[in-house]
Amino acid sequence: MAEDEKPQRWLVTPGEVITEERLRLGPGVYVQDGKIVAKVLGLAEIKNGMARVVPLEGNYVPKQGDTVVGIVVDVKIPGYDVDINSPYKAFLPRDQIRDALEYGDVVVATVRFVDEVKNSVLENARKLEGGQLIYIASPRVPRVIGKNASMITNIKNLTGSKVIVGANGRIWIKGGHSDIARDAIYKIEREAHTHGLTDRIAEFIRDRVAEEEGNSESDSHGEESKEE
Amino acid sequence: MAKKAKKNDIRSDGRGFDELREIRIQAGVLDQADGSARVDWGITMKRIAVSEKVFKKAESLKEQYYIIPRGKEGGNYVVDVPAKLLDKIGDEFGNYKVVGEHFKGNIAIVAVHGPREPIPRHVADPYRAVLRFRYTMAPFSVPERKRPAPGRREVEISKVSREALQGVIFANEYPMTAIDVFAELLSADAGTRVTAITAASVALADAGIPMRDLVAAVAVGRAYGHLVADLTKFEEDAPDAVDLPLAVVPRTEELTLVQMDGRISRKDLDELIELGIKKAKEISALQRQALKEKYQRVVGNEQ
Repeated sequence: MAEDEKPQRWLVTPGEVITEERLRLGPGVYVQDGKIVAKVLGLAEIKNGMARVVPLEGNYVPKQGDTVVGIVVDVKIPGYDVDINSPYKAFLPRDQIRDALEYGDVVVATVRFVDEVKNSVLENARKLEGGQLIYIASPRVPRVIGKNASMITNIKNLTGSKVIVGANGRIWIKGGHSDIARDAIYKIEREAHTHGLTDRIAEFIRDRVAEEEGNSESDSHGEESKEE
Repeated sequence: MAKKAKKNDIRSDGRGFDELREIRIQAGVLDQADGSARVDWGITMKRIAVSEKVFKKAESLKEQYYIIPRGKEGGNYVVDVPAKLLDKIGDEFGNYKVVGEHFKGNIAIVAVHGPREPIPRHVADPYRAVLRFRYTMAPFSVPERKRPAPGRREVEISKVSREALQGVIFANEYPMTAIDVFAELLSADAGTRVTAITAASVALADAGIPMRDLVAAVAVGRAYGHLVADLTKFEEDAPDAVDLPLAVVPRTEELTLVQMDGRISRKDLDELIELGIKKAKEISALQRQALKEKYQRVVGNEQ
């Protein structure tokens, strides 16, 4: 639990009073009659004089500076329309990517600009080849990354996979024990609201990796060398 | 107006006069929806086997109580009686034998999709999300087959339900989108609109939509000379019936839906609204519990 989070995090539903104190307002709260009230389903937290609710559900809304994993849905002369798993459209100008893209290509990019109706322009894109693409609820992405990227570093080191996490809930995994990395991420998504997750996930991955390597040793050595 | 309705001492289904039916709420029941909820809202009926003489008597008791004499089934005369009523007036049925038990009431399943791209696109509002609510009843939800096409009643209920929820949603956070709510009634026994609204606010919260509060809805009214909470179909058909569905924002006690059938004095109306708010707060607690249970289930499995 130590580095994961403080125990003063609790599950709230919309309309529940978080505190009657005057504090700074974080995301997920509103003020009524001088009380700070939750407006989304999530985990309430009071830290450094700020009250906020970390949501557990909800669709992705693009924010400037976010890293997103998108899928090309249209090719136009000035650039590409990219689906970013959101109700809003994203556009990737042609000069922001080296490769020529086709319909269905997967890219990772940064959100450069979001307009007043939340349509966005992307920059610094890179095409992702091969691997697998999984989806999780976008509000739980911060748990997959962890504090100072502790969780994701753990996953990468223990499984040897390349992992790219989009803030929009799309995650690209390639190489190493990629199926274990996938299962670990799904496990984080399911248990995003619980304590002590980093340790539990590390244990989960170690067990699975040991199991798989044990199996491949007894089965055939060819399999194992392919994995290395 | 038939003012001379018989005044029962016991409620027609054995409940207390301000007692709700049994309400069970589950959040997150559908995989494909962004948010979903199921609400079962009704009474337990016991099926009892009785003698022919008692059965004849039951035929006359059904004027007064919510009992359903079913006729001869498998060599026995069978009557459906609410479990709570059976506890209170069991003596009336002489030597009866319980042969079965079933649920009688409303079942609503609500799916929320969105915020998502509004189709058709011209309904989009650049300042806020548009909320759309579709209330439908299954053809098998009522005793006579209900034609599946939405009629005046469904259109009206969809409209008032949408308006009951619209005010609590922070729609300005999702411009140019639509939030679609689909409420499907699988079983109906009076108070379906309040069941749908109660389920819909749980489903909206489950979809992660920002809201001021969870709207809780309940019907209050008058039947057989008493002011009652949560009427059954039997009570709605009483000669002096008043049916007053309310949707309440429990924290601020605002009313977002008030409709009424029947005539009532101002004094009784005030009393009913107060009762409705009190009952809505009970329902609100069940809604919150349902949402939290969804997550506690996960913890329970893993630790």
